[in-house]
Amino acid sequence: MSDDMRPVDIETYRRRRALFVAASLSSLGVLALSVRESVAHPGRTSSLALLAIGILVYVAPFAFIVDRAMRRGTTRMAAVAVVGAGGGLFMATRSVGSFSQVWPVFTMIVTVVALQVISQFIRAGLIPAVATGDRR
Amino acid sequence: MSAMIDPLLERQRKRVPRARSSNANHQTDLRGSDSVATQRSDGGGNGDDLADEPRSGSRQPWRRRYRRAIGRAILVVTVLLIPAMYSYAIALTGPGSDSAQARSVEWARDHHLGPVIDRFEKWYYAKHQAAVGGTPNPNGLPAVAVAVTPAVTPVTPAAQTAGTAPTGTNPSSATVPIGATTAVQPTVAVSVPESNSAGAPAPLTTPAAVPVPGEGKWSPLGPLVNGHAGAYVSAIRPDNVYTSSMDAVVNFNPKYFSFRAYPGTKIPKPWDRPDYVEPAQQSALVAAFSGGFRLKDSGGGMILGGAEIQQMRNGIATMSIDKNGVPNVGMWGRDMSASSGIDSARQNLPLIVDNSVENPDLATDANRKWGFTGPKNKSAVWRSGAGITADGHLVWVGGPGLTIDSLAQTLIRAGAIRGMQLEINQEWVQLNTYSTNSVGQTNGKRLLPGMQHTGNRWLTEDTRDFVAAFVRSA
Repeated sequence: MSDDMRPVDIETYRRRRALFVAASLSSLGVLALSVRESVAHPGRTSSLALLAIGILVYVAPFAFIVDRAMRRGTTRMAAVAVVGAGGGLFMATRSVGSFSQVWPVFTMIVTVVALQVISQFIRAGLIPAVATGDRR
Repeated sequence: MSAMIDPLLERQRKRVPRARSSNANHQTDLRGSDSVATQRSDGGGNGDDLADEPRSGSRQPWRRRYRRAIGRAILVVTVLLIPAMYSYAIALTGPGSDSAQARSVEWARDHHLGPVIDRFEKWYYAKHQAAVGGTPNPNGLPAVAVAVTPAVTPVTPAAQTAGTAPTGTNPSSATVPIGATTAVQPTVAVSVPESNSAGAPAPLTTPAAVPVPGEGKWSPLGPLVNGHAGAYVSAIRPDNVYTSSMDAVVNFNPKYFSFRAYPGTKIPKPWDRPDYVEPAQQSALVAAFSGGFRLKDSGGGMILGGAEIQQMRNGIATMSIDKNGVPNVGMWGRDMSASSGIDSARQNLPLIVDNSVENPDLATDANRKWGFTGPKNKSAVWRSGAGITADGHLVWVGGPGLTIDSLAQTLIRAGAIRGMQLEINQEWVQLNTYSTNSVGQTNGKRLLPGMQHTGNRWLTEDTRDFVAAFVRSA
């Protein structure tokens, strides 16, 4: 491997690691929410449906956003970990109730806002720049 | 790449004046590609490093700044909306079987949007009234839960008050043979299987010009208690206009059934009972119906377990239940008061029937005392009401196509001497009947198929308060 290629590899490694962290933490949150929702109660959403909804509206978009942000250098691994863990924990601790599919949607919105705020801090130079990817 | 693009740019600059916006965009795109190449060769930089390149006026940076400002504004608004979104998400995911639509409306009302919702509902009710003329749909007729167990355990009001399971059953007097109950109610197309048995109220007179078979005739509801039906159900049209609507009328005899009010999660605490029928009491549960408007919109108060949860107001229609489980409907301060051994009392708007006649204010309802449904409350929508007969029977009326007038008239037709409106809106009008199977599992059924909530509503916690009827012990 030439030296010219090495930075790209490191960036790819960091991006994939962030992607893995984002996907796994959000998946754990969705899984926990689905398990909690499996308890019988009025207006219960099927756990499988909730799992699918959670993946569609939270896990996958979160992963895409993290991937894009890492490519653009508008986020950091630590930020992804904190936001992902916060979102996962939030969903895992929701009380059982009707319309639980709202929580992945809500968590996604807050996640997007949090990542946007972090990216603004990075752009403003409040968070030190790290070479995290090409900036096309 | 840069070498290939530069001649292209030069040719374009010669052809087109710089300030032209459409081609300026094209120029920008080409320059953007160029700048990427420049950045790469420089090992950094950004797209603004184009000092040596002619620009298309000041449009490009202005547009960029504008977009950035819009993006930041959206971000700020979203951040500010997060508490509201959280509150709304909490409202949507709360306990109970309310629909997302109902939860949204309730949430809006709780956040000072009541007048907006009222106007929306008025418009909605005007657009979704019952059809004028026609005949009832046989699939929309009342149906009751089918009981299959040979006996149930009756409930004494004392056992309910203590919150304990009923103990022991006197086979000679209290055991209730459920197997003998009627399962299905009058049909339009088919003759009524059983009606007007001994002890049933007099048949109802339909206001429609042409009655349909079975209309107005009574059938027993729930288990027979010592051979007597404790309740009867009938179906009747609301008037001679909305003749495709068929409403349910239930006549409860408090001699055989006892009543108990329950709170919902929206009712302020303290409570001395849960917001659902306790599992120990469910085997004796016969029916349950929704209590009334949201307490804050009821114009009155509520007493539960002897405690005044919200201040009662004189002159307001009240459904009270005494400590023996006997119900009454009347005007608070005139027909009943807090000092008469009352276990619960629920107020909701003024009386609509008094002394067996319709409240004269219903004709105008200039003050919108009974809701906000069309001009003078005349929209024919889902409503429910309750009344008391001269011999102390509790009458419940509910279903589609009811104006405030036709609700009052139906109560009078069913023998009510005093009556009150309970609910408006298909979402909230509900009466369920229940039966317990051989393995002790209680199942509920909506009285009318058009009712929105599950038949098992009120076996688990719910948002709205309700009244439950139980088989009375000897």
